[in-house]
Amino acid sequence: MAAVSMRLPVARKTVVPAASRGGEKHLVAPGDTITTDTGYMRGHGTYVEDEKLIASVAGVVERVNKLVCVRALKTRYNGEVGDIVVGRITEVQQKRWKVETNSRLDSVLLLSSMNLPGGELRRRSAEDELAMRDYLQEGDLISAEVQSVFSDGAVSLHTRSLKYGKLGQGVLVQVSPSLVKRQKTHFHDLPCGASVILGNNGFIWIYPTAEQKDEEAGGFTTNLEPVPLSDREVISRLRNCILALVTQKLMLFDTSILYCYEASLPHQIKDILKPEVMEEIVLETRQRLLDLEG
Amino acid sequence: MASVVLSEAEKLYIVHGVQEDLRTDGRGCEDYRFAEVETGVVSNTSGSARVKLGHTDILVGVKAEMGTPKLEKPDEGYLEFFVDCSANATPEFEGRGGEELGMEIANTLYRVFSSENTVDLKSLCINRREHCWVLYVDVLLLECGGNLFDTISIAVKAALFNTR
Repeated sequence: MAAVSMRLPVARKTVVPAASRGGEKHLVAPGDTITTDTGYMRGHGTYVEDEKLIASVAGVVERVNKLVCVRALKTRYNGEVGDIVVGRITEVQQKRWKVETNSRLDSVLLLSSMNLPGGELRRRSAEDELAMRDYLQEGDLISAEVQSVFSDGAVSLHTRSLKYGKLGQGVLVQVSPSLVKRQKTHFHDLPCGASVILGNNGFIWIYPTAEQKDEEAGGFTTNLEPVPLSDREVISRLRNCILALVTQKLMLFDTSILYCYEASLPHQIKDILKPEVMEEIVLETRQRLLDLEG
Repeated sequence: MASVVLSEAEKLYIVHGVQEDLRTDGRGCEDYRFAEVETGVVSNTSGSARVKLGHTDILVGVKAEMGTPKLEKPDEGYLEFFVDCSANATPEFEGRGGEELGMEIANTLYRVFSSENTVDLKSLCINRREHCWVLYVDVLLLECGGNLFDTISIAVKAALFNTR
């Protein structure tokens, strides 16, 4: 009979903001006036009423020359062209798949934007339409890139490169999209033994690094062999580290995840789920990141 | 207990992991998530408790009233359970969806708490055959995140302990 650890609830400590960043942050709530100066252009998260610029979301005001916008902490994903996203297929329709990407509307993956197995280039025929379910079913996870954004905000995806496609065995972690830092590449092979895809929409996919690097027809055939225990432990530890970083509101990128992993090595994997261990690890990570910045 | 759609590869990964005693969050098959217990939360009850186990949140209130003992057990009091699966626990419970689950949990609680070792029912008796205490235990599911039986039993125990 395993022991259950019981705790009494305590008032949650407020997350201490990083004191290193210089300058006061201008925080606003919806309805707060940002400025009454009419010389500014309004960006995302603002609207004009009675010649005043008012915020429509809760977040931080960002000013770039004459452009004022408000960046919210927890939002749904807003698509931008060129972003990498990880999504789950929700529906199989006539010539496309509907993909759930944690945004306001379901994203769309057209059949013509998907690579055929074998890499051949031809017009998609009726047989391809009927065989759609063989490629991707409901519930499958894919990695894709945003091709374009429709006027209502819905996002159109494509998997026209061999590094995108259906994802195999691994673990998915869902976080807020605002915590994923924009970088040059979102596919990282971490030296600890696992690989991670940081989707801009907040879906993070952790999977064991494939030993062989040869491409297999755009990644349709999934590897169904059991994953060894050592890889599993690395993946579970990474998942708990990412959750720890998210609860302490730290930006997610490959260096922060790696430092957090190294800081968590003295602890057992399941101990990382405890709040005090989380705080300790993230504090150490924050310290190392500050030292890195110099 | 909301239904989550997973891909075949993910399901296979989880199943293989459990076979090797490692869940995706690093716990073994027999490890619990850590629990938070709080007693004395509802002021107009004789005793109450709130237990949070991961994403599962249960609120239990105990009210003590006078009643007559049951005919087959004249010198004991008894407990009455009512489990309310509210609609904001999980979308499956809206309307009358949660009643079946509530009945099942209530029946299990009756069986568990009717044995002599759990609660001393003789101490609930005031006058033999005439008066006894009846403890009405109301269980409210606030959020449903798995492992309901364990959480509810911990919460009921804590609420009974808190009853004055």
